[in-house]
Amino acid sequence: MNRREFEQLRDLPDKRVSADIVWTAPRDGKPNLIFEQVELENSLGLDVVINGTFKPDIPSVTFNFVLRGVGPICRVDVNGTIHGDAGRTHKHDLRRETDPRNSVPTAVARADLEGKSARDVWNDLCERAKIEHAGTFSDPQGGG
Amino acid sequence: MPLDCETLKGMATSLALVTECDVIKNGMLRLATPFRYPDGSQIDLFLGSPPGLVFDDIRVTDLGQTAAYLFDLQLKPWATFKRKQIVEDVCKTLSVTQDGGELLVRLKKEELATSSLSDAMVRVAQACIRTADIAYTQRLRAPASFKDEVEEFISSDGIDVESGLVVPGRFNKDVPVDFRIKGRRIKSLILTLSTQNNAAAHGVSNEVFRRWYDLEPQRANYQFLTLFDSTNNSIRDDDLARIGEVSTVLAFPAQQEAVMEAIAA
Repeated sequence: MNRREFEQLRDLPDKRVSADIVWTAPRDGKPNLIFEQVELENSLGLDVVINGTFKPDIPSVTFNFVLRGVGPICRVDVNGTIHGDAGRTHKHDLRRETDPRNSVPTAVARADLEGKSARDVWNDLCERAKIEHAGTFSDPQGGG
Repeated sequence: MPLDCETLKGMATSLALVTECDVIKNGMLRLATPFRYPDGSQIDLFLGSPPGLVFDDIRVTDLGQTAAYLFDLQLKPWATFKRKQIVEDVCKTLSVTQDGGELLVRLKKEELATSSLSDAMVRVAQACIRTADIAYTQRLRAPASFKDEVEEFISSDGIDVESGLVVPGRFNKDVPVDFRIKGRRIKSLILTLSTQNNAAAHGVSNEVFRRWYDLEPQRANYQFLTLFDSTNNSIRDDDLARIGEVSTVLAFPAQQEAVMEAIAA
């Protein structure tokens, strides 16, 4: 996928997630909570799935979009690891075809997301990326 | 000895192992280190006693961030025996403990003021780096891109390839090209054309045409070559014909020999 194709997907208005977002705590992955393989339905027919990680001790949340067979193409990190000038809260997106194998290394700051809950970050992401989420979102911090 | 940022900075910042320090929700200290994951982000280490543990059980831990890094790449380090074995070997070599998704070293309180702290930080950070490198040991998530395959093919014949450059074009705009190659007598500019996405193919083709059009002032200096991916049929014939009006169009890998003849000329 190149930048142009990425932008075409990003700007596509009819993207949809039908599945529920449910966080689990795999024994070998603790203390992280994760969800994975949530399909991003899109009229381009691209096989894109979303996964997420929530680290309750920090707290920190990541939503990661993966083009299956290629690798990650976009990711939002809130209070995660420092990524250059973009700080701990930032968004990665694909700039070069080689980016997926390097876990999309270019990031821009998203300071506006600092301190937001996982649910608020998800809602912001869906709104900006033109994604309709028809399922439910279970809050990893509790509260349903 | 109190466990706070200022004390830690006094002990560890002078060793340049800590570039930032703050306190996270569970009360542990988060220490940003100069070590990096493969994507360039700094490795965090967490220091302190997690809730529910006795104060004397002080941990230097990544709190599962390395596992999360791999998870972003669709690689669960715990999902296969081979990956588990790699992590176990890394931990054994570095005397690092694996606890679920965490990589950690336990310290006694009295060891904090000694070199044991910096030693533990380096060992855990190294374990993070080596574990994150599992990404490189797997078959590439992405099959090599078409552009990579072309570059690999050309350079394997000993030809120097300049990649990822821009060339001045019309309208005072720099035009990105994939490769520039100096042959025996002729210099070439190359644009590659490939997409797995049929819906995007026409747009990608138009972009190639647009770039050649804008590069017209360079025609006296270079031959223009378009290499399209012959392993799929996503590019329309009329798009290839249009690009053929402004450049030489060759199929790769189907016309490998013709490609090599053209660039070596």
